[in-house]
Amino acid sequence: MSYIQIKSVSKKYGDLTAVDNISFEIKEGELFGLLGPNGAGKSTLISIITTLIKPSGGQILVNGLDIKTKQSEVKKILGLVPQDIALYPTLTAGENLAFWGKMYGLGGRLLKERVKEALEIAGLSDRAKNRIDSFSGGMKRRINIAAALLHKPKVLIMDEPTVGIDPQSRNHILETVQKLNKEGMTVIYTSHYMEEIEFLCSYIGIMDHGKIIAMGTKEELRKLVSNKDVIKIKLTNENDAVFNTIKKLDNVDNITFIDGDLSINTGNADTVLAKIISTLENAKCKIQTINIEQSNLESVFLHLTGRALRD
Amino acid sequence: MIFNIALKDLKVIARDKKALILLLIMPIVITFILGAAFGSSFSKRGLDITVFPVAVVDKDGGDQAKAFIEDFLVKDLSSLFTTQIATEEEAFNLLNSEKVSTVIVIPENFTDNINNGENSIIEIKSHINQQFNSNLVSSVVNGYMQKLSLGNTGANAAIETSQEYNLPLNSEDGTFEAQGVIQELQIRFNTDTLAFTESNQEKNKSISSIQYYSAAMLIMFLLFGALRGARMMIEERETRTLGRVLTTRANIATMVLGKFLGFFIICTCQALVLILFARFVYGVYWGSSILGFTLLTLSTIFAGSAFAMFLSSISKTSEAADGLGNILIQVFTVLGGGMIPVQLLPQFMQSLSRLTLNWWAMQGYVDLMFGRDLITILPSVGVLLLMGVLFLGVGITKLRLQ
Ligand SMILES: Nc1ncnc2c1ncn2[C@@H]1O[C@H](COP(=O)(O)OP(=O)(O)O)[C@@H](O)[C@H]1O
Ligand SMILES: [Mg+2]
Repeated sequence: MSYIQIKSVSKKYGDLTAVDNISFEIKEGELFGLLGPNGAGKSTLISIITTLIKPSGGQILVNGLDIKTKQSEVKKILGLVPQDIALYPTLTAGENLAFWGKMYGLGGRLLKERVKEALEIAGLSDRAKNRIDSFSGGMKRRINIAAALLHKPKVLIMDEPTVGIDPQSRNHILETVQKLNKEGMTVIYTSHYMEEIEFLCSYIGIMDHGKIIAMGTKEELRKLVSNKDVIKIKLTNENDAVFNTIKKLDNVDNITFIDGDLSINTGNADTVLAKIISTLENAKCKIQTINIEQSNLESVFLHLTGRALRD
Repeated sequence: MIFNIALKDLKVIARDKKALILLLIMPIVITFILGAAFGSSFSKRGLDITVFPVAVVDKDGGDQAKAFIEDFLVKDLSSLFTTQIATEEEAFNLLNSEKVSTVIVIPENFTDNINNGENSIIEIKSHINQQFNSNLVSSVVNGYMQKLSLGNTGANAAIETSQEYNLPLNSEDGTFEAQGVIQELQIRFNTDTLAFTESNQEKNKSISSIQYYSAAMLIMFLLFGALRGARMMIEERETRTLGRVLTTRANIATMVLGKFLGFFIICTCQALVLILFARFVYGVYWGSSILGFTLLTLSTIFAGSAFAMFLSSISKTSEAADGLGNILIQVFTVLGGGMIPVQLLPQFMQSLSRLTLNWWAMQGYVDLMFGRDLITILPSVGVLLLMGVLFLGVGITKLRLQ
C-alpha cells in the first residue's frame, strides 16, 4: 500500500525549477532514501511534503489525505528532522524537548514520559540539563532528531541528518533510524552520502536538478550499471589533453577528475586498464594509486548524469 | 501554545545577560544620567513654563464673560499667563506677529447661554509655533467650562425634578426661580473649580525636565525592547526554529501572537523598572490617574511590540532589522519630542510628529503629568491601539505570504 503519493509536484523559484514535475510513491513501513548532490532539490521537496512551502503545481496525499486541504491532520502524522539544527541554543536539551512536545500538543505526565524516551533514543539522558550550545555537533544532531519523535509520528522525514558530525554520532543515528523503521515507522531519509543511503534504505530515489532520475531497490539500481566498473586513479601533473584521449578510448564510458582523483567508468576494467596507464605515462602524468571498484550508487549517479555525486 | 512560545522567549531572554542588562539596567542608568543633569528636585529649571501673554476677545460683554476674564483668567491664572483684553482684529494681529501665543474668543450670548443652561463654546486660537502654550490654555479653559456645564447639568436636573412636581416653572416667576437655582449651583461649582485650580497649580502648571525626559526615555526604551523582540522573531527564522514550529500544531499567527505576548511581558517589566525607579529615586510625578497611566503605558507597549512585529516582517536578516530599527527609533524619538520638545523642532518635522507613536505617547504622558484625567488621554490611547492593530495586521499578513 502506498502511504505517501507524490503527483507531478513542481516548485519554481523565478527561472529556477528546484523541483521539476516529480511523481512517486512511498509504501507504509518503507525506509525510503532520497540521494542527490547539494542543490538537487531534496530539501525543497521535503519542505513541500511537510507543508512548509507551497508547490507551484501538483498534489501530495499522505495516508489518502491531501496535504493542502487536510494540513493539520497531515502535520500530526509527519515528524520533520530539518537539515539545519532547529533548537534554542541557550535552553537545555530537556527544555528544548519539552517546548517542542508542548507545540505538538503534549502535556503533563505524557510530555514528561516522551521527553525521557526521546532523550534515551538520543543517548543523552545524562545531558538533559545541559544547554544545547554546550553540545558537540553530533549531540545537537541527535537532539534535533529526538525533537521530531516526541509526538510519535507515523512518518519520520529526515533531511541530511548526519551532515558534519563525528563517526560515533553518525553510527548512533544510523542505528536509531534502522531501529525506528523496524518498529514500523515509515522513514524518508535524504542524503548526499551514498554510503548511508546504500546502508540504510530499502528503496531509493536518485535526484538531480529537481528531477528523480532513477528509482528502485538497491539491486535494481545497480543493474543500471551492471558490468560496469570504476577505475580510480590518484595522479599529479595532469592535463586536459590526456583526459580527452582517455575519453575516446574504446570501452570508456565516462571520466571525471576532481582534486587529483580520476574516475573512469568502463564496461570492462581489464581491457582498458593497460591502455589508460600507458596513455597517462606518455603524457608524463604521475600515477600514485590505482583502485578498481565494483559499481555502487555513486557509479549509478555517475552513469546517469556524467558527474560525481560529490562536488 | 501561544503561552508556551511566550514563556520560552522569557527563558531565552533571562539567559541572555547582555540583553538583560540592556533591557533592565540601561533604563536605570539613563534615568540616573538625567537625574544628574537636571537635578532631582522639582526645580524651576528646564521645561518650566514661563508666563506668556494671551489675548482675550469678549464678544459677549455679559456678567459670565466678566467673571471668566477677571476672576479666572486675570486673577487665578496670573502665574500661568498674562491676559490682555482686545478686539478681534487687534487680537489676531497680535497672534500673527506672535506677540501673544493664544487668543481666547468668548462668543456672543455667552452669559445668556450659560444662564439658560445651554452650552457655549469658547474658541482658542493659537499660533502654530505655540502649541505647547495653547494646549495649556485650552486645558485650563476646558476645566473651567466643564465645571460650568457640570453646574448646568445639576441645574437642569433640578429643573426637571421640579417640573415633575408641577411647579409653575414656565410662568414668568417660574423662570426667575429656575435661574436662581442655576446661579446658585454655578457659584458653588465655580468655587470648587477655583479651589481645585489653586491647590493643584503648583504641581501642575509645569513639568520638570526630569519628568519630561523620564517619559521620553520610557517610550524610547520600550521601543528598543520591542526591537529586541523583532530580532528574536527573525532569529527564529534564521535558526530554522520558525520552520519547525510550523510543522507542529502551530501556524504563523500562533507564532506571531506568542512572540508578541513575550515582548509585551518583557516590555512591561522594563517599563515598570524605569517608572518605579524614576518615581522613588527621583520623585518623578507620573500624574494622578493610575488607571490612565497604566492604560497609556500598556497601549504604548502594544503599539511598540506591534511595530517590532512589523519590522521583523519586512527585514530579511536580524542585522537588517537592527539597523533599520535603531534608525527608526531614533528618528521617531526626535520627531515625537523625545530629545527636545516638539514645539522647538523645525516646522516640517513638527508636521511629521503625529505619524509617530512616540508623539502620541508623549502627549499622553505630558497630559497626565499636568494632572489631567483618563478622559484627556483617550485619543492618544486610541491612536496607539490603532497603530498597534495596523502594524500587527500588516506584519502577520506579510509573514504569512513568505
Ligand atoms: N528560497 C529559495 N529561493 C530561491 N532559490 C532557492 C530557494 N530555496 C532553494 N533554492 C534553490 O533550489 C535548488 C534546490 O535547493 P535544495 O532543495 O535546498 O537542494 P538540496 O536540499 O538537494 O541541497 C537550489 O538550486 C537552491 O539554490
Ligand atoms: Mg538540502
